[in-house]
Amino acid sequence: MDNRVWGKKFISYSQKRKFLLLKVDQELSTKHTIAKELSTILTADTARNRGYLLEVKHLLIERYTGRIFDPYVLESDIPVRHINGTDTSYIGTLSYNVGFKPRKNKTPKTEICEEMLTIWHRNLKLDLLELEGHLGFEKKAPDRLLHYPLKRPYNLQITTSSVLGLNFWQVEGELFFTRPETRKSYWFNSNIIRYQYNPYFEMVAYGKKSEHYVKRLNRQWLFDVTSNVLVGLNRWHNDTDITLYQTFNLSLSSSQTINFNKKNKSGLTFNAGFFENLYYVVKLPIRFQVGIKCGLGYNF
Amino acid sequence: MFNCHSNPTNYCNPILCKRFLLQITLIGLVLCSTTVKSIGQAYSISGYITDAQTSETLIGATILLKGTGKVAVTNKNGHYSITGIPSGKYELLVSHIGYTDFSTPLQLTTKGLVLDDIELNAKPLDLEAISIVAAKPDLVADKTIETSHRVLSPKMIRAIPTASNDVFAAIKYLPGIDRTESFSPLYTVRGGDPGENAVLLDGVMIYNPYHASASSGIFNALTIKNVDVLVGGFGAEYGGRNSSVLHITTKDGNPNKLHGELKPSTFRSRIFLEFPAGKNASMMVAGRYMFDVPQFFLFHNKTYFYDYNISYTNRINNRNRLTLKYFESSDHTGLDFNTFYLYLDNTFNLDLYKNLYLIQRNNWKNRAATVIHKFILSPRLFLRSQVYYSQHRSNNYSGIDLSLAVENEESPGDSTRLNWSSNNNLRSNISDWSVKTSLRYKMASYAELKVGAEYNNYLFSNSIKINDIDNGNFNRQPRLHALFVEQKLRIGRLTIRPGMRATNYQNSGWLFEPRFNLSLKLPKGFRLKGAYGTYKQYIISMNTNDLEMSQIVDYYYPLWDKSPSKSTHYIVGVEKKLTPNLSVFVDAYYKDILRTYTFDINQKSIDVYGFNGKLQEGNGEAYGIELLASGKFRKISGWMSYGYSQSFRQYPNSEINKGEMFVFDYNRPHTFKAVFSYQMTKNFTFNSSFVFLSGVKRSIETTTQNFFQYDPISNSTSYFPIFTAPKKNSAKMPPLLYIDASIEKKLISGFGKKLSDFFNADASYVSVTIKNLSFLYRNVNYYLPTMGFSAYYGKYLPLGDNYFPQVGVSYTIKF
Repeated sequence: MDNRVWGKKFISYSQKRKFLLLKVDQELSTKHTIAKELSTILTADTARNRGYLLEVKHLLIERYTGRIFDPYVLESDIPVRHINGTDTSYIGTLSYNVGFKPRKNKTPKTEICEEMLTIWHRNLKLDLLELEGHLGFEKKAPDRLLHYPLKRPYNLQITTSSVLGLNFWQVEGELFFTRPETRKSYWFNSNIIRYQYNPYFEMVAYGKKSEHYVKRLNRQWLFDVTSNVLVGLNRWHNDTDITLYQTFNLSLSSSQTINFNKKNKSGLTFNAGFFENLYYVVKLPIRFQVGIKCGLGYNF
Repeated sequence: MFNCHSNPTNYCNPILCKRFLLQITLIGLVLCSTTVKSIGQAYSISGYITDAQTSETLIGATILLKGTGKVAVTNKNGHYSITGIPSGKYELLVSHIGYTDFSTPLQLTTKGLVLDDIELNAKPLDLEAISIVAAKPDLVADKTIETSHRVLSPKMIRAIPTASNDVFAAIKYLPGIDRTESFSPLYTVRGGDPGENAVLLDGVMIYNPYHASASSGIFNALTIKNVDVLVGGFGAEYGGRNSSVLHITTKDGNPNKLHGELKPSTFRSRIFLEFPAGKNASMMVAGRYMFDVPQFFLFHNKTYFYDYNISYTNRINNRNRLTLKYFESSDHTGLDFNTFYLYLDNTFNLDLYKNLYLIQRNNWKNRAATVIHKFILSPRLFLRSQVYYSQHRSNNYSGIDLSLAVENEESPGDSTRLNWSSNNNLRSNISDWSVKTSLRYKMASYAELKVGAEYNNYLFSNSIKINDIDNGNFNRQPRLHALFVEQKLRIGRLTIRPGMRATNYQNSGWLFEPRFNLSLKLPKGFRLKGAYGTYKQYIISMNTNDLEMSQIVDYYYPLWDKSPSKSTHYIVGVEKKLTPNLSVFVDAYYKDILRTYTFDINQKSIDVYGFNGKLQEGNGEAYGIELLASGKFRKISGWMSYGYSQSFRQYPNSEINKGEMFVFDYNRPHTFKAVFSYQMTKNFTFNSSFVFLSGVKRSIETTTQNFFQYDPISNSTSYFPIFTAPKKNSAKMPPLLYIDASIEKKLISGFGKKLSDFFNADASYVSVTIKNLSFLYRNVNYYLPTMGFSAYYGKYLPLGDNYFPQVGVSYTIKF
């Protein structure tokens, strides 16, 4: 069953240039519908005692464009229902975040997609076999099985943090979307806005890619390493000799925090850790800042 | 017989006036009785056509009663009526551009049948159907008779790259309408004064509908259903202004479900929501907020504005609709250039601004509240009644302090310090209470009568201080009564609309403004149109182009013991539909400006107290020709226009140009404008605009004049030099060229898409606007005389408005 808005064959998109200048989106689709391809593969390999109704709720292959990592990722959510005669009962949702790094940088996207779909098919088949075992009380449930229905493919998280340093303080806010957690470590980008007060100026800065690398420690806690580049504006305390160029600021920051953030649960989160920052203003030496960071957030 | 030139005050002879009214009444009665007789045994139907999704009334929908040849088009209220139908069974067909056709069987057993609202479903947008201009312009209400009628839809406004969803920026891309100055939101129509344009928001007269801080209009484009611009020859329903009428219709809200749009931004945010509010009722709430964060943070300038609309509509039954609307906008501009000048001096090692302090503060507020009742008395009679209150307040202060060391030529090395301080403070407060009603009577399929009455109670309060000295103030409370009658008649291929507007200002007697429009269908798809009209204006603008470098507000002034300003329009136009999707229009006009006023602030004004003493009466003329091509070709849609115009003024008994005729301040002989939208893919639209404007005339200052001022507190006299021009509008500015582009992309991935999905929105968009693509060609708006440096004496500093290309990015969530 496939109820996606984007069409039954859609798997990804790419961009091509029109008139050598403008980048326009181009949809990538499979030859047959995803539902048909899945039913062909799964009927041959996994037909056992039980019947399942699989729904393709979300399927997208896209490239993660971080500064450190840049793999392709296949995201997919497949709610699984058990068919019992004319009734169906909800078992859970198989949620996938399949990472793939092509060997060659210039591998055509169609080839990459084909390879990723093969990996996904394989994982799905294995998970359905595991699920069969789990329902027969033989095995534990697959790691990628979430026991609750997903409202949407991404969770919104908002965090606000404050940093206290030797001669500065700052507050910052981050807004980001994460996939349901099915792995012990993962990464994502967020939008960040920061206000800093130091002996020389006040600064407001924005960063489009605040890159988070997250490792889950247990169901409640995780470890988060963040790096970001921000561009900001300075409001100087003493502006007698200030030039227009010196109203701009470039910051390179990182932080390491321990976060209280329950796995796949909505609710309050908080974090504490360390913060480091290098900033550059024209005609001034690069300055280094260190501070202690703590913050509050909410996971929707 | 109705010549009103016979006496100096232009008031009609009472006996002639009475005879005129009697004749009009008799003609009306005869027409009514004839019509009623001829259709005595016939049936009639009426009702509203609405959008099925939003329940907004649709303007310009066609209603056809199959088999009878009877057709009606919905008016600006979304109302239609068909009369003179014999009894029987029929099929009713309803069609509208962008909507799926609707048909229903109809059996006429009741004579005056008011049908339930007919809801049309919007067609799914396929690539070929996307066009920013209406493919069938004839479907717009009263397009059949209005001669110089331009229509702007929200889609057209959105397609203009730099309009930023602003009506006042968008209308300047239409022929006949031009910017006054680059930094000003004011506009001029066919060689007229900016103060001669009426701006009506749902029938409410709005005074100075502009934001000071953003050079834009105060109306949120998300709330707008339709914009009608009547650039000349408009009917008797409209009055009070000599040049044009801009009629904005806002949405009533969706009675079925929540819809909206959100555009979050750190700089300029806006929101629009429409939702049900009880049985048969709906509400619309919309607002915008702009805060110039970088200016505030870096240069300590606090500049912001906000505006919001609230609308409540109750569809009481299929005959009655009650609408309440409230609108408010507020502006605060606080510009203090000192920090910026300091940074500029430090950056480029200059010493230019070290002793210069410029301050500008503006506070503006607009409020408008109205109650509108629409009532279908019978299928033939439609009554619209309205009460409104409109208010505008502005407080504008600007000051300059300059300290210069001037070298003494006789003894080199010595210098004298010249201190120059100047400031002005202009305040304006306008209140307008009004009651108005209009009755539309569909006499037959070929005849329609419209009558109406309006009463306005004004309060005007203006004051001016120059260099902290009170230079005049007044408070006035005039009243205006107005009546109008117009009849639209179709005789074969010819449609005519004679009309008359009568006004009585301050009980000084009734004045008449005859109007006449005609439209003639010619072979091969041509349509000839013509209009004649006399227009009188009692509330004039105090603006003069000499007072400020960039005029950003009209100071309205009610005439007192003076005849109203007056103009007569003569217009002839031809329309031709070249293909089903492409139309061309040609309009030629002559405007006889029989009486006009201006304020001569240079006439020894330093010691003239009171405003009437500065008022100068004059006359003028304007004429021109406009060509407009509008339509769609494959994936490209848009319009392009060329305009030629000339405008002149003369103030015979004044010091202005020594009483001789001169080219008017806003005269632009040649204008070429084009807006194109190219739908590249279903998610990607490219828009571009091109504007060429020939240069206006300016009075370039060539001489200086010293003004002396006595300060009683310090018992000292100071002086300041004023640059003056011996001849009015003696120099011609260079032409202006603007090329702008924008792309709008429907998001299918990324943070923006995820955010809109989180809110279960229908779609999200990113727009990138590139302004000033023609920045290599300098658009000079002023030539400022240089001062303080002997090497530069006699030289002029060009001041442009397009030094660098500007890129703006915006994000919109639509649900």
